[in-house]
This record gives sequence, C-alpha cells and structure tokens, in this order.
Amino acid sequence: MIRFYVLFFLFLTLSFPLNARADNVFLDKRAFEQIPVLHEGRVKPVLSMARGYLIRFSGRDTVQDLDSYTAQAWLAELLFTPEQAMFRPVFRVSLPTLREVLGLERSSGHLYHYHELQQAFRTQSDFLNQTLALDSNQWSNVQKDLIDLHENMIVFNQLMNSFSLLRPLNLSSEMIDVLPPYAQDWARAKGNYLQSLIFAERLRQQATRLAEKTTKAGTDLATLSASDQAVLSLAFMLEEMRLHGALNIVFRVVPSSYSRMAQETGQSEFFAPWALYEQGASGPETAPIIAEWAQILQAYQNSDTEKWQQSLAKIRDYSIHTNSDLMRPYALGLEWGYHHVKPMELSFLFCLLGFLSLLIFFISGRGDWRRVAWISLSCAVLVHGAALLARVIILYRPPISTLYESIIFVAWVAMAFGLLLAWLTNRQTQRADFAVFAALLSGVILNLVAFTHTAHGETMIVLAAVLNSGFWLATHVIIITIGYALCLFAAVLAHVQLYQFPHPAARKTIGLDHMVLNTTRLALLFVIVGTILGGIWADQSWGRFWGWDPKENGALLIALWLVWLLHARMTNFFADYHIMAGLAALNIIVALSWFGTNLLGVGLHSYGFSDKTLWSLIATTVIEIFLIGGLLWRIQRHKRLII
Amino acid sequence: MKNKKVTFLSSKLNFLGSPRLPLLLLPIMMIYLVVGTVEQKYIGLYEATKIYFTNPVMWAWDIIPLPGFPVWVALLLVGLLAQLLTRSRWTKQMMGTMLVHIGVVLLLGGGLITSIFSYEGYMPLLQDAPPSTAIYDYEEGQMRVFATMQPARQLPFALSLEQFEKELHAGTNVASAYQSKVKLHDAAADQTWTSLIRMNEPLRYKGYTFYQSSYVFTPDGQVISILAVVHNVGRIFPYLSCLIVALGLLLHLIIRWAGRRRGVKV
Repeated sequence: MIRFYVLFFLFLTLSFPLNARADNVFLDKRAFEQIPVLHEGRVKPVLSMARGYLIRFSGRDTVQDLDSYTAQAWLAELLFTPEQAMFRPVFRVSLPTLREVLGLERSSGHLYHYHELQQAFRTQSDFLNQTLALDSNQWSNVQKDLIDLHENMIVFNQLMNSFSLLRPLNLSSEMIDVLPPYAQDWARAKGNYLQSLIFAERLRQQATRLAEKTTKAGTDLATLSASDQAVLSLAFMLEEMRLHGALNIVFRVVPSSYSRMAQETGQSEFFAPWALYEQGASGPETAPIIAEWAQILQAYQNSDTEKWQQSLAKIRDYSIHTNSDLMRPYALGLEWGYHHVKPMELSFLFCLLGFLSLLIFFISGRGDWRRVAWISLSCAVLVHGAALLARVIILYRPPISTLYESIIFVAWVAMAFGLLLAWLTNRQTQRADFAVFAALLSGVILNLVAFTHTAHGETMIVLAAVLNSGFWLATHVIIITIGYALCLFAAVLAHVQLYQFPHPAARKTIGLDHMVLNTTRLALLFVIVGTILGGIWADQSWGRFWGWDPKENGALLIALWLVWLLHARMTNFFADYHIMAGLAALNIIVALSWFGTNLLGVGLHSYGFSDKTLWSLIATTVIEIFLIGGLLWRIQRHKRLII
Repeated sequence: MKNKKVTFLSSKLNFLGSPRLPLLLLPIMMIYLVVGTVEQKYIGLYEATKIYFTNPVMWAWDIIPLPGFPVWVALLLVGLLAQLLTRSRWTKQMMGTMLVHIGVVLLLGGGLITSIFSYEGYMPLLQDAPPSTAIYDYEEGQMRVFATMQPARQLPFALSLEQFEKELHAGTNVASAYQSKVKLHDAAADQTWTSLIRMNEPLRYKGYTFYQSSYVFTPDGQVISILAVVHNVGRIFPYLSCLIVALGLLLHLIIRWAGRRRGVKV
C-alpha cells in the first residue's frame, strides 16, 4: 500500500525537475525573466515573450545547440550579444519545398540560424518580392511559410537591435584621431549612439555643409581632408542607425509618462528603447532607466553577476510602480509562475499516470492501482482548474476566446465532470470506475490535442473588438463549451458500453446505460441553451439572432443529432446498441463542429486554420468510424453465436 | 387515446405528433445543414444561406425541386403542435418534455414571425453631415457605401454622427472597441438628444434598434460609421424560449434521475 504512494509521489517530484534546464550562461535569469514588457496588447513578464517567440520561431521552448538553452537565456543573448545569437539555430523551416527554394542544406530538426537564412534570402529576394506583390489569399503553402519566416526574421532583427543605441560603436583608431574634438572624447571613451546625441546636431550641420560644398564644387569625396571624411562617415553611420532604430518597436520595456498620449490619458505608455527617443517620450524619469539598461548590457557581456542583478532589480521596481491600468504586479507574478510550473504538462502527466494505473487495475484487480487512478484524476482536476483560474486572472477576461483555450477548458470540464459523477454514484461500483476511466481518457487525449495547438507560441492573447464584450459572450461560450465537453464524455462512455454489449449480464450490473443517457441529456441542455444564448448575444451585438454562420450551424448539428438519438430511443425504432453507436459517433460530430467549421474559413467564428487540422480531423473521423464499426461487428457476431 | 373514436383528422394528427416524425425530419435537416455549411466555402455565406436555408424551394442540380429548409422546419413545428395537442399526457412525468416542446414551438414560431415581419438594413453616417433618415438594404448580404445608392426606406426620425471613436489594444493595431456618438432628431416629438452606440450597447428607439457594425474611411480620410438597423417584432421569443427550454430540460433530467433512484423504469 505505502509502496504505491511512495511511487506516486516519486512521480510527482520527478515531473518537476523536467522544467529545470541548465544554461551555459551563469547569470541568474530569474531577475531578467520578471521584467515587465508590453507585448501584443498586454504587460507580461519577459519570460512569456521569450517563450512565445522561441516557440513561434522554432516550435519548441528551448534552443538545442551545444547546450540546452532556455527561452529566457536565448532572449537575453539575442538582446545583449546578438553577434552570438545570430548563429543559434532557432528558425524551423519544416516545408521541404521551401528548404529547396532557399537552398538550405539538411540540418537537425530543420532548424537554421539567422545568418544563413539572411544569406539565403538575399539570393531569393525576387521570389520574396513577387510573393509580397500578390494578395495574401493567393499565396501557395510555400509562399505562406516564406512570409511567416520572413516576418519572424524581421522580429528577430528588431530584438537583436533593441539595445543597439546603447552598444559602443567600434570606430577605427585612424578615424578617431581625425575626428573633431567634440566627437573625439566620445569616440575614445567608446561612446554609443545615445551619447552621441549631445553633439548630433552639431555633427549633422557640419556634415550637411560638407556635403553641400562637395556637391556644388563637384569634387570627389576622396579630395576631402581625412578629418572631413571622418565627419561625413560618422554622420552617415549615425543617421543609418537612427533610420533603422526608428522602426524598432518590439521590445517595449520602458514605461514613460512623457509621451503625448501619456499626458492626455494620465497613464504611462510603454516604449522600446529606440522608440523612446524617436517618438520624443524620454524624460528625467526614463533617463536613469536607460542608463540601467546600459549597465545590464555591460554586466551581461562581462558576466558581472552583482551589477546584473542590481540593475535589473531597479528596473523591475520602477516598471512595477508605473501608473498604468495594464500593470498588475500580482498578474505578472502569477504568469511567471505559470510558465515555471507548466500546469498543462502536469495535468497531462497526472492523466496519463491515472489512466495507466486504471488499466493495470482492470487487468490485475488490485485495489491500490485503482486508488492511484482516483488520486491522479483528482490532482489533474485541481492543477488544471487552478491553471484555468490563473489564466483568467492573468488575462483579466473570460477563460475562452481561442481554439487552444476552448480545448483546455473542454479537457477540464470532462475530467471534473467524470470525477464528480464518480463521487456521486456509489464509489465501490464499477460504474464509478468507468466514469473515472472516461475522464482520464478524455484528459489524456484533449491535453495532447491542446499541445498541438501551442505552436503559434504565445497562448495568452488579447481579444478582438467583436469578442471583447463581457457577459453574454462569456456565458454563451462557456455554456456551449461545457456542452462539447459533456458530449465527448458521453461519447467515451458510449464506447465503453459498446464494448460491454456482448456481455449483457455484466452490462446490467454495471448499469452504465443510464449514466450515458443522463450525460447526454445534460449535454443537450448545455448545447441548446448555449446555442440560443449565442443567438441572444448576436442579437444584442448586431441585431440578428441567427446568421447561419458555420459555427452556429455546427452547434445546431450537435443539438439535432442528440435530439434525434433521444427520440430514436423513445420509439424503439433502433436497437439499444445502435443508439450507443450513435452516441459514440458524437465524437465525430463534435470534432466537425468544433474544428471542422474553422476549416471553411468563413464567418465570425473562424479562429485559426491549418492543413494539419484538416488531416487530423480526417484521421479522427476514419479511426472513429472503424472503431465504432468494429465494436458493432463484434456485437453482431456475438449475437449470431448465441442464436 | 386508444378509447377514442379514431377520426381521419385525429389519425393524421396522431402521426404528425408521434416521435416518428422528428425521426424522419431531423436527418433530412441535418443533411441540409451539413451541405449548406460546407457550400458556404465555395459559393459564399450569403448565397449558400439563400439556397439551403431560407428559400422555401430548393432546386437540386437546378432541375429537381425539393422542399426547402423552411418547409421542413414548418413540418416540425406542425408536428410539435400536434404532439402538444393530441398525444401528450399532461402528467408530472412528462412535464419537462412538454416544457421543452413548448419552448421549441416558441423558438420556431418566433423565427417565423421574425422572418416575415422584421426588417434589417444599415445606415452609413458621415461625421458632421446633416441628419439622415435613409436606411439601405443589404446587397448580396453586404453593406456597401456609395454616394449613388438609393435608400430602401426612411426612418420616422433622423440621426447624425457627432463623433466616431476607435480604441486600440495598447501597442497594437487590433481594435479593442469602437463607438459612435450620434444625435437623434425626432421632429414629431420636437426633441433632439445625443446618444452613444457601441458594441453590445445599441440604441433602441420607436421599435428600431441601431447597432455599431463597422466603419470605413472616405478617400479624403473622413470616417463613415456604419450602423446596422433592425426592426424586429419577434425579438422577445428567443429569450422566452431559452428560459423555457432550459427549465424544461433541467426538469426532465431531474425527473429521470429521481425516477431511477426510486426504481421506476424510464
């Protein structure tokens, strides 16, 4: 008995160290991870941004190079020593045709580094330009991936140059010697772009005069004195940097109350370092913060732990006390914790453990395994539920707005409902075990499906205007999603029941029929009410109750299917096992209306589409048809044998 | 029912009211639903909706006339009414089912009333332009804004756009909300006042409802706010129906559950 619990908790502790990976940079990334940054419409810890981008670029949350690199270590490297980060293979090019077009050689995991891709793009600039000239809905798959890759590289480039204004410029000593005195001290002290701003106007004027002189006289630049040449090239270099930096807006990490909008609204605005200066938002408060960033840059390059931590702490302290509605320190902390605990992975592991234990129990009949399964399910429900709650607090909105969120919500409802059902029925019965079985199986499968929907990177995103509307939306979406979950749960139970059918005696004692039917009725309640509430929401928002949108039709299809089966059962027109087969096929119907409707790419509800979805949908349907068909065939054969 | 003298009418009603009717109708409706939804990808939402869901006659391959979706819905409605009138036993056991059926009758009936009597259009409002009473019809399901368009009907009062505002999510180009501040001029009541229309907060006046739908920019950069206008008589039905169906299903579930606990075969 005790052995089992020891094993169980061993499993628990083992699942945590999976998250801890060694970085080959000894600096403490913890201080860096927690810096608040405004990204994609909300303030989040740098860790979220790092993970989001790394997953978007490479499809994974670590860099597999000589050593395993975490996302946050990778981002730090990209920001502070880009010349190294350029050679980390973080861009996945999964389409073979695209690899061919770009002339890329084989590499492990189809991962390539920025530098080689930059070279490849140079040779293929015509293809890129042709693609960009086309309308986006005419793009082929190769072109879609090309544009995605290109966009990712632009973001990479922006991140790479986020702090270029603080990085010392490497000027040759010959050039420094002939610079005018006001720039010479700066150059000798290894000054950066920002420090050059003091003499920028003077330099610009001098350079303009020189340029005018040379154009008027028609003289060759080579005839200018070395000193004049140095002035011109320095001015040109700095102007180039300014033009490039003016577009740099990704790493919005400096809150400022000096911008025009901040003055109007009384709320601080977040700027990327370059944008702070280019958009005239710097001021007495932001100057020391930028100075701290310069310290961090140096500390990183010199591996100066003490300075690194001090400066980051100062920045974090300043940012957290920013006057802005977007800044919620407790949410930041929670989000940071969310990424470290990885509750969804934990939930999956619990489900898997529980599922396997229950299978062992079914085979061996030893009660300890049964207990492990029950405890695992309870843990999964708790962890998963806490994660959903955390997401609501972090995002400050109802829990479901993306496909990914609907999947994790459905997973939780199916698991929680199964657990509840198991507790409510007599716990010693096999019926309760089957409820736990269905809950665990749903948990395993749905968590797996959810993992395949995180490839876009960040899963916590803000809402589009049409969805940003509170009460009716929240109720409609939550209720219809609960409906989906109950349907799936009923379908899994129906499979079990179909499997039991050849043994009527066992079936009667287990008494799963009523559990399936009552779950179905409850599902019908949620699906119908959810669908009508959707209509009411539409009526409230834009005045039409029903618009024949694919998603609406999908929900209606589920409702009609359920109503049909329940009426079919009433008339005794079909055999019991046909009804069960129909309920088992609910999986297909729900998958079609949940994922399939997105494939059509029409209407309001289509949020995300890929060819992969299509193929997995087809595969699911085919497998289900064979599975249900096989179970039915088994029942038929058994009947014949008895007669 | 068995003791009753079976007349021609009641035997027909008996069939219509039996659960065998939905058994037949529902698969047909499901086929329409699936085909019509998939077709949206190929011929567009508006065209597919017209052919598969709203036309009373559906032409298969342009030559064979089949009953359209509304016909099947109407049959279902008749069946439900027949069931309520002739077959239902008004017992405690059946209370939930009865309620659900009443709710669905209200939903379908309300839909019928809406489709016959309601009116939908839209109203483009240029900022600072004189008050307008013109409502336009959707063309091919779309809202179009051209200077040469003829209004389909006139409002009994006038609206003008004072200000249009768009809010973005911080640091992005994603709109988080947009809204129109409009002025309502009612000559009949000799009154003028301003009102704010935004997502989920429509303006309702004299049976008309105005929703913030979208916005466009004119070539010279002025903003035109587009309001959807709805005059719907059957608005209340879905709300009622939702409540009744929910109650009915809940009751049904409780009755079944309780019945099983007591050992009644259900």
